[in-house]
Amino acid sequence: MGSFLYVFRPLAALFLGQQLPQYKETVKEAPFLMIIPMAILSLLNVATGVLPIPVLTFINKVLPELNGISEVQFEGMGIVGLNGILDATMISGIFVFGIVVSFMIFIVLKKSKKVGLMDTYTAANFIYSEELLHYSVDFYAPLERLYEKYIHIMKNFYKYIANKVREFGAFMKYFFFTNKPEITVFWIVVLIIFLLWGEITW
Amino acid sequence: MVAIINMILLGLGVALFGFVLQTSIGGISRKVHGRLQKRIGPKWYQEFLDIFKLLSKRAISHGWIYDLGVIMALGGIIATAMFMPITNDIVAFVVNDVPLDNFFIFVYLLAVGMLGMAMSASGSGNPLASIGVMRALTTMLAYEVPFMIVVMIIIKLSGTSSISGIAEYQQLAGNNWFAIALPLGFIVAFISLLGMLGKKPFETYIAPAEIASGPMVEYGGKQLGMLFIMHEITIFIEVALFVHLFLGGAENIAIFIVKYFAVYTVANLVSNVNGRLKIDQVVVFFYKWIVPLAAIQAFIAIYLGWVI
Repeated sequence: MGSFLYVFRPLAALFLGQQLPQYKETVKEAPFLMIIPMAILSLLNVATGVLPIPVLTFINKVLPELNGISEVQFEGMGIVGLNGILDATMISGIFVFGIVVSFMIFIVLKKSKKVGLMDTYTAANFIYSEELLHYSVDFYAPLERLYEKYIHIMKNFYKYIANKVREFGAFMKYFFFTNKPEITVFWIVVLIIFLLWGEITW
Repeated sequence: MVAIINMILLGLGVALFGFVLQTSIGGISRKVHGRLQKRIGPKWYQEFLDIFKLLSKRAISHGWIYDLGVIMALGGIIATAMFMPITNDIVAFVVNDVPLDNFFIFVYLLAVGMLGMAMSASGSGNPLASIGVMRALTTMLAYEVPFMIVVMIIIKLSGTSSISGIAEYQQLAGNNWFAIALPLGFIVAFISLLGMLGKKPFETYIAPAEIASGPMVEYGGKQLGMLFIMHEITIFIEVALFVHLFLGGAENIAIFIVKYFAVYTVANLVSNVNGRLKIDQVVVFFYKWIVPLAAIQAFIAIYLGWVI
């Protein structure tokens, strides 16, 4: 659930909800060549979820090589775990059946009238900035309020690390990426000392 | 083939039974609610009338995601209900005498239905709906963690994750109902159940006066009717899960209906005397009090072995 909550935010921001007026003309469909690999990836994803047996038999061939890991057991189309059987194929089949039943209910009833996305009921509130009411605005506010008292500990830690990285970068920049003549002279002197040192020891 | 068709018909029968049962009990609960407020309350079959009226009306549609989400929500919930055992013997899907009613099926498929509704609601383009969806998903995140901890304890103790298996384990001589064996876990699960049903302290995502019924704000006609059916079947699944996990399941349908009615009515009564929490208060409440309680129960039951 947590992982889905995380994915739902970009999903809702990209595909769902109202389209802001400034993007009406600029948004267009991706080129065909970009869609093909995405389609292949998503189909593979669905296929391995619905029919896990071929992938798992392949994994079972590998597992004996790693010591101490027992093979995944099957019974029919189901995967046998410690506490019971989970049959992914049948579950997806029933899910599709449920969708068909509900689609039949949907299609039998009266056809609905199509209206635009901006034509919504807002309980007499005048919505003057849609961005503020968007799904992804202040998304983590409840969790942030939960850890409000302790949030400064990590914040200070990150600030400290950021400062150190910045100092190190300034140091590197000063010695390696500069146009100042004194630094160039310094490096020439170091190089000469290095060469002479090699000459002496060799 | 005949066996498969029989299983599917039985499953559909279970889903229909759940719908009729919950809609009638929901109507009775509205009457109880009315009596608490010194009103007479509506007739017990009022909810049926509402749903069939809505289904017969002409509706509006906000594009294909809006319709697809409703279909997905109802379909997912019907599919989930088909797996639900009612008594020890009435389980729709049985292969080689092994009932296929794994707890994790309900976790996954229930979420699919909810997500269909979330997709449809945010696809409707109403800002209030997307606020409601955000709150609903956050609430879900809050109550699922303690509930899952308690169910994991039950699976560990009974050695099976099949719902009817767990119910039969409690009916064996020498085993108590998990409501008595795991008292803290029972309290945790009941409070989580209030969150699942969207009852008063945790009904933040519906909030009629504040965000105009949240996810449902833009619906009307057949879409709203289908979501009502979905809502009734969802409640059936959640309360039936609770009955099977904690109250020892049922030997026959009459016992099931009595236990179901008791759980739903108590939840309804508790909800009637409570106000509504804010969304951050809901999350803080669950993570500050309920999750530690569940963890204490896990420690007591699994490490110390104090199971009555």
